[in-house]
Amino acid sequence: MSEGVLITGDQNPLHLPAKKATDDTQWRSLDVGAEADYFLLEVGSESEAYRIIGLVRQKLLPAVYLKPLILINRGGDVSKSLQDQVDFVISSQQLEQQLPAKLLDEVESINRRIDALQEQRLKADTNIALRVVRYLYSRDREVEPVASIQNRGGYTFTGIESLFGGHDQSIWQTLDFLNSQHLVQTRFVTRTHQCASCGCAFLNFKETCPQCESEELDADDLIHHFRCGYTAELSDFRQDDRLVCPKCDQTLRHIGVDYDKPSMMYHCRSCDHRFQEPEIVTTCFDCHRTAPPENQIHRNIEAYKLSMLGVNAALYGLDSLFASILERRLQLLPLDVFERFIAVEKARIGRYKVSHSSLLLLDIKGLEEIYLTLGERTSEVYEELANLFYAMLRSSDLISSRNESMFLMLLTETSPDDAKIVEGRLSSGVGELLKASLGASPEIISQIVNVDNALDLTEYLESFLSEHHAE
Amino acid sequence: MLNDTWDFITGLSAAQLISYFWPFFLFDLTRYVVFDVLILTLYLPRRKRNKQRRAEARKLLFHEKPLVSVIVPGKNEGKHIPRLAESLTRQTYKKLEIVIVDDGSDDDTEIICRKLHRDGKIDQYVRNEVRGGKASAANTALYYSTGKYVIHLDADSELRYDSIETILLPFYMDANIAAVGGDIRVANLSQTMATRTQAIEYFKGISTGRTVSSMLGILRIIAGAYGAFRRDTLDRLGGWDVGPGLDGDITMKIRKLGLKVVHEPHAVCYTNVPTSFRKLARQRFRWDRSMVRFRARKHVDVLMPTSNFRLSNFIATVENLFYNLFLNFKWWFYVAQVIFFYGALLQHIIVVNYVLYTLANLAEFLVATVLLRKTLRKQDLLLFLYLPLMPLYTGLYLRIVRTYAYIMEFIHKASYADRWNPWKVSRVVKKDGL
Repeated sequence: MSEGVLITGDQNPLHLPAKKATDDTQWRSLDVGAEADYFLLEVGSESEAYRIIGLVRQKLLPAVYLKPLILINRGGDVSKSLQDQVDFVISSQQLEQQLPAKLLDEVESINRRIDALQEQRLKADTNIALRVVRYLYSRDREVEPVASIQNRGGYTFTGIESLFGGHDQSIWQTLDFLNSQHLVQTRFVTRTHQCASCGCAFLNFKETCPQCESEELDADDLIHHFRCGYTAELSDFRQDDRLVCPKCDQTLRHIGVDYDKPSMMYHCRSCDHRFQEPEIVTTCFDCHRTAPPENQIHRNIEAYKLSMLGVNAALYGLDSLFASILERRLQLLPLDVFERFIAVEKARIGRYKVSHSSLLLLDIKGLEEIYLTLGERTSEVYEELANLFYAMLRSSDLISSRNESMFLMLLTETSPDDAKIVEGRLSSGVGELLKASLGASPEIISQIVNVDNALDLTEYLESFLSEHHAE
Repeated sequence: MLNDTWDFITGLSAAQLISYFWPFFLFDLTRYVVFDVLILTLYLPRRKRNKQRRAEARKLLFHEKPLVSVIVPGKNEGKHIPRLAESLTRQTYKKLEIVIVDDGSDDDTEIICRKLHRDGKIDQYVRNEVRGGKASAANTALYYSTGKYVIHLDADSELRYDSIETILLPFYMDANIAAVGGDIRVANLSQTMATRTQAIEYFKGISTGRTVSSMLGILRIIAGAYGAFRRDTLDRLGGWDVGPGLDGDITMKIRKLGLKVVHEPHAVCYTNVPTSFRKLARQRFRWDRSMVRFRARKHVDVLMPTSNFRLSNFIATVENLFYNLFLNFKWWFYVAQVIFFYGALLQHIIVVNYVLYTLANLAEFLVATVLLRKTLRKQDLLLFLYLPLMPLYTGLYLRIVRTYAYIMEFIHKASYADRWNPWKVSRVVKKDGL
């Protein structure tokens, strides 16, 4: 039986004695509810709801900020934006009976994913990118852009908005960063024009005179009277509320039958110029900069969903740039998939007893700090490292990573002795490359394990980590 | 056989000569040779005497320097416009406003013209997304042009360097002149046999024919390809009415206002004509039908003794109907007469007619040469080699096309079904009997 924590706002709290309740004050001071299954939100207004959702989503522990949120609707409509920010909306009647089984299933599925973070779920997350990655992982869905006049970019991502403290620009920056690291996959949704100088999507598109740039234009349709061939602007035909041909005095009856409008003409009130193709300019509502549309930014608006690398990052921390380069170059596998391959390989070797495969572990100490030394050149060094890995491994080998600097390689049909050769070459190659770039050799720890029935990858990694990363 | 024919000719009495060859002697020789020669013997000295007046008119023109709008309506004519715009920059008269109206082109016309407009090579480009026909395009151009004089020009024509100056002079010699027709010459005359025969025909019909009509005050057409109009007159008329044949129509309407229309043989415009007899037939089919539609129907009122009656208009229409319509059917009557009554002499009559008409053509060509001598080019003069083909061309080919066109228009009002106008327009004007 799942159990939730009820959070009430200031006004009209619902009394639900069956639930463990906490009020706003308690909630602010304590990380209560880390062990609860969900939070029930019972508030008097939408603004109250946003405030409390913000409080939850900005908590530090994944076990708290990722928690499923269920909003109790006490009647009336719940805005789409609010619906997007909570996981479920239920009516107070539903709450008095029993929560629907389907909802509980979904709550459980979110919680299963939170549990997969293991001990990390109770360690504070301060990195906003990692928090987004973990949120996307726990919800296992795409976050979609929603058009919004509140957001100067014209779009917001209501699904993850509450993770950010209302700084909408940082949502874009974070998603751009995740995309650049290949932690998310994108799907094209639409395109916007944004101000090239301030990024604001609210641009005023205006027609102007190509001769004097004035915006004070009149536009008039040209009328062609079929009967007599007379052609002039609409205003010449106007007589009271009728259209009368100035040439033959006939009243125009139906467009398409006795007359049509073959084109339109603009007239500049400022310089008297007549033209058919006005210049289009855009002015930013925010910074007031004016530019032709082609000089503004055309931005693709996309929906985001975690990539395999993103899933790995959610489970084991944010992968480094290196990992993303490796993923691209070597098809770095998520660790759980790698574990599955190890299990298959173990079973295959155990059954046929004819071949050997080896697991090679390479731990490059301090690799994550390389950025501090090399700055923007880091990616070049990573590319070189990736090339080195690529050159040493065969297409039948598999590679995964445990964190930014620890790499696991399954060398199929390779005895531990042969694996030693690969290990030697890889260690010295990596060592030399990093020495040449950083000026000092990093500490490289490598181990080779025979893949057989005795190997338990999780256990092995834990013992390795406790031995070498005790601090 | 030729000896037989010679004997046949020498044996003819005057009465026989007339009865065998009456169409030639009574109509064609008198109207197209004798008449032309007589009138031109009057015209040429008069033109010489007018030299001083022309010089004064020129002074007035260049003193006033009115803005002249060159309007070019058309569909899918973009390819011709750069050349046309370029040729207009070489004119001796410079104060021009070039207005191009694109009547729903579906080719690159818009791209070409917008660029020319941006580059300042043309002054106004109006694009009508929906085709409305020549009249509406010309009227659109008229509406957006501002010049005191309006020159209507076909896109595929080219003007002689002094042409605009020359076509404007009559306005400064006689305040009653409201429209001046330019002299249309064939630009692509050396291209095919069809273009050569048309070139000769243009010399005779337009250069000489219209100069003579103009002298007599019975000019009934200012060519659409090149004509100059006073804006106030065009505004009074509300521009052009729906064609085909809108150029003849507007000329008639100007005449009805009591204003003069004249032809200026030295205002030269070179235009491209149909290159095959098949295409030419289509063009003439359209032109000839409009003769029936406008002279015999729309403007038939000039023949009536109303308060608006003018002898010159009466004669202009009667002459047109008589020489084109009546004599055309007369010719078939003559053919029947020869076959049924003089069947035995058929071959002699054909040969003699052929020789007579070739000689007449030669005479007409000489007249044109004298009239146009200043503006003729070498290739124009070489056309005399093709004169022997003309009896076949005018006597047979054009007559057949014309007869067919007249019959179709009289019986079926075929001009209303012409794709030259969009159907939406033809439908309305046919219903209203315009």
